[in-house]
Amino acid sequence: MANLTIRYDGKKFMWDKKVYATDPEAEQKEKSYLKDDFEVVKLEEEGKYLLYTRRIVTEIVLEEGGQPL
Amino acid sequence: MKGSVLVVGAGPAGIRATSELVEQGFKVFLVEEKPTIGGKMAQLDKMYPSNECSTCTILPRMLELTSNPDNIKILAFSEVTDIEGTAGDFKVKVTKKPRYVDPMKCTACTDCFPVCPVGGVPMEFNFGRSVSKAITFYSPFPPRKAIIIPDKCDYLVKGKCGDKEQPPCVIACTPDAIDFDQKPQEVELNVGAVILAMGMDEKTAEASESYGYGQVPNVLMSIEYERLLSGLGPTGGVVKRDDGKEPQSVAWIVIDGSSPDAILTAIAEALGTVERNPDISASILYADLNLTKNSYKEFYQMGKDSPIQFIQSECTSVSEGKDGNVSISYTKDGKEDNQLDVEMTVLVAPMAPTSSAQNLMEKIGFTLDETGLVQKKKGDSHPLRTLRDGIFICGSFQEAKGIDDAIVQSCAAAANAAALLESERNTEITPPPKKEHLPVTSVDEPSVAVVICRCGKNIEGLLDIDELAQYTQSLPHVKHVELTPFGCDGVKVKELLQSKEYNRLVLGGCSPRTHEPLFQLHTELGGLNPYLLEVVNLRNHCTWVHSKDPKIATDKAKTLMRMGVNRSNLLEPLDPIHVPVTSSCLVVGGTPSGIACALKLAEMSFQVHLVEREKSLDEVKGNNSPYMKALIEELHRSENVKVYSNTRIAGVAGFIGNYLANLVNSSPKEEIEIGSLVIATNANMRADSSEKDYEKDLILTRDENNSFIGMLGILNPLDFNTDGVFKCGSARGEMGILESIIDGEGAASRVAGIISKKELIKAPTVSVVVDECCDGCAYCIEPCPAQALTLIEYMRHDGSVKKTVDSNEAICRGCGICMATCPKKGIYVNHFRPEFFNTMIQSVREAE
Repeated sequence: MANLTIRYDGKKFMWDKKVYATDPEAEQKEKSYLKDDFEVVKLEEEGKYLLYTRRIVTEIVLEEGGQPL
Repeated sequence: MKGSVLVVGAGPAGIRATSELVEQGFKVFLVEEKPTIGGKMAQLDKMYPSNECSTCTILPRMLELTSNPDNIKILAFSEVTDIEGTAGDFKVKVTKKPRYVDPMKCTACTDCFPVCPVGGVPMEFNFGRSVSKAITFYSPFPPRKAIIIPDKCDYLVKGKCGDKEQPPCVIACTPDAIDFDQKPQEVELNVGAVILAMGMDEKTAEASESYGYGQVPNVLMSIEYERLLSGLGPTGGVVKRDDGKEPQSVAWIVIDGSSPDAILTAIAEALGTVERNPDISASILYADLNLTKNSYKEFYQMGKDSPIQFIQSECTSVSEGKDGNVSISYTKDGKEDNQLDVEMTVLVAPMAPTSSAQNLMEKIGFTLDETGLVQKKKGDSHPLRTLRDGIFICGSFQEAKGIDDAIVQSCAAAANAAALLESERNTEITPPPKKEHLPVTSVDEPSVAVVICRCGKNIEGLLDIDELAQYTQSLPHVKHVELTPFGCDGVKVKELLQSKEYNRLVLGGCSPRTHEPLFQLHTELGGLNPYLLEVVNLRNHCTWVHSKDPKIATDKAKTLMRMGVNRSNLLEPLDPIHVPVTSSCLVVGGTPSGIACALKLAEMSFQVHLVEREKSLDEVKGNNSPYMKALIEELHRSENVKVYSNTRIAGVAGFIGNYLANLVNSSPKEEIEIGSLVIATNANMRADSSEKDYEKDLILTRDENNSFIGMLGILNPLDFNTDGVFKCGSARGEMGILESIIDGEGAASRVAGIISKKELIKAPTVSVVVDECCDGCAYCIEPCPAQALTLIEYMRHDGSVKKTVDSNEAICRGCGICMATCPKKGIYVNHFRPEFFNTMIQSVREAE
């Protein structure tokens, strides 16, 4: 089981929960993440590929009902 | 050139200069004429203007020094007898006085005290208001080693003590520390610079001649009264006369010629008195106020708002009244012979250099003027430089002043010494030994060692300490309980842990707020990860608040120990966080203090960016004197300083050691990386909206008078609450040019303590996100005062977008607000997991 979280360049990235069998397969997915403005880190682990993403939320909207006590 | 400094005098100024220099990579020899360090501050009860407990404030700083013996050589009970040589290479002669106890062997066990047959020896530290045996501790402060009072010791006076071949103290001393053969020993030191911080004494001559001191009963000097107010003093903090009576009326006489701050001393003591007994009549007789600093004016107002009676007058005589009372005559508003009869009188007198300081000054060719101030080199108005290059003065020895000002000066003196010896930085410093901790994992069964500190009378005086020890021994996983006179010396802690039998340590003693870093250090020196230590506050939370009921206090102590032991069972080892450092600084404001700060850092070979909104530094308020013009010219010549005129700061991001500032109006626009910032803007300059942006970025706050709010505490006058950001000069308040220069140099020292390092080590008590629980609700983001949390989204391979939180451990202060706001247990602070609190609460309920 891959790590759910990694830190890269001081930043936290989250696993997309899929193990990619080949590099082209991972690369193709990576491109789609990048298109959506996610930062992506690709790791190779025992010949398989893992993708980790992150995107800063600039507009924070809290759930309705306010902060719980 | 040497990479070490001699600091003479271990009061607050000397202690601070020492710690500043060591932080910057210089070894320090700290010489103190008394057997223990702390100076006058260790004898005070509370301090103006913050009204903080003096002992609680200074003690952790003292212990910090004693815990770094490789780099700080403390020569207590020693006197400097000569200083030869020149800047960078001084030869210093020091005479170590015999204490007849080998401090390297003495473990402070006190076994020698009860067997000594000579009692009733007046204690100098308490001005003879308490007595001890002929072998004793000089004071409750470090270095806590026994000392024999030679003219009282039977063996030293008569050559015989007791009926056995050896004196009883020698027989009782297991570590064989008693040494009657000790003689004065001369030591020679070789240092690059000298800082004289020898403080001053109250002048008693005038007090004696005109105000009855030493002649009229119940007339005390101010420092004696402080000992009566102190909880560690001879009367345990209850003011008593010699006849044992608690006075119901006390008057303070501020003797003419005292520094303007003398009245603040009187106010602090009077406030302490009425706090203890609101019915007491407290009066202060004074001639002039002459208070310039806002904080001092506010403190005076605090006194005015209290029941203290202020009498602006001229005191004409003090005489003995009825029943041991004191009769004071004074002139007020031209009316003579006003009378005030009180049960005790306290004199606040002008200050003068100590006799040993005067002797040293004579030996090294310095002269003192009629007011006791060190003569300056002609044409050099810098307050801390002396006739000899490389020898600096600071603190009260330079001129009577408050502790906050003494701290600023000691930082500035350290900066001057560091600038002089820049090429030798880190050449004599011994790096900390590689830390090897006992391997501990979460599956290991806890094996708890408990050390309960008697803390003099503070804890043992109230609790049934043996009952507490016996109870603690019965708690789960407790393998050993040990009592110790003073746990803060670390002797017992290290001894127990070095046996490798224990994987948790619980220390029952004083407040972790003041002492945890020190106990963590001792724990680490004993070979245990410092986060496997739990400190139980038996003093502030127990004996101090239940001081009138030993039974309740002992019961509560058992509960607190149970909570601490049970929590300790859950503790995990943690590793510190290493943060890289950019070795440059941004100074905001081309004011006198900003310029002085930039120049001093440049002298230390650091890169400095100085930003000023005006078109040139000449246009800045305070910069038009010939003195400042010369400094500005020097600044422009320096290769290490880049001046950005007509420039402001659009924003700052980052954290200590790693800030990024955006400058606007400079040409071209620039983004600069710096490790630290100094705010040296003009006090009267209301920050416009653009500047407020950077203040907001750095979380700098202002009060209702538009003054910056700094870090709390009298020892932190130059610090903001944001790590790595400092303030000086007019950003701290209105002050003159020379005072501003010293402020700027003091800030330079604070900065150099950071940017002289390649990396900073930060405590791992930071927030940790539990990704399995965090759903990105973001309740924690806004409340975080350090702005350490960022809401991020991430994508799953199936196209769903989730949210979570990223915590920047370098910025996080570990305050726990995030943990309190999270409804999902999605974030916690290392060392403070929710289950730790649950266990402690459960432990309280066990007794119900």
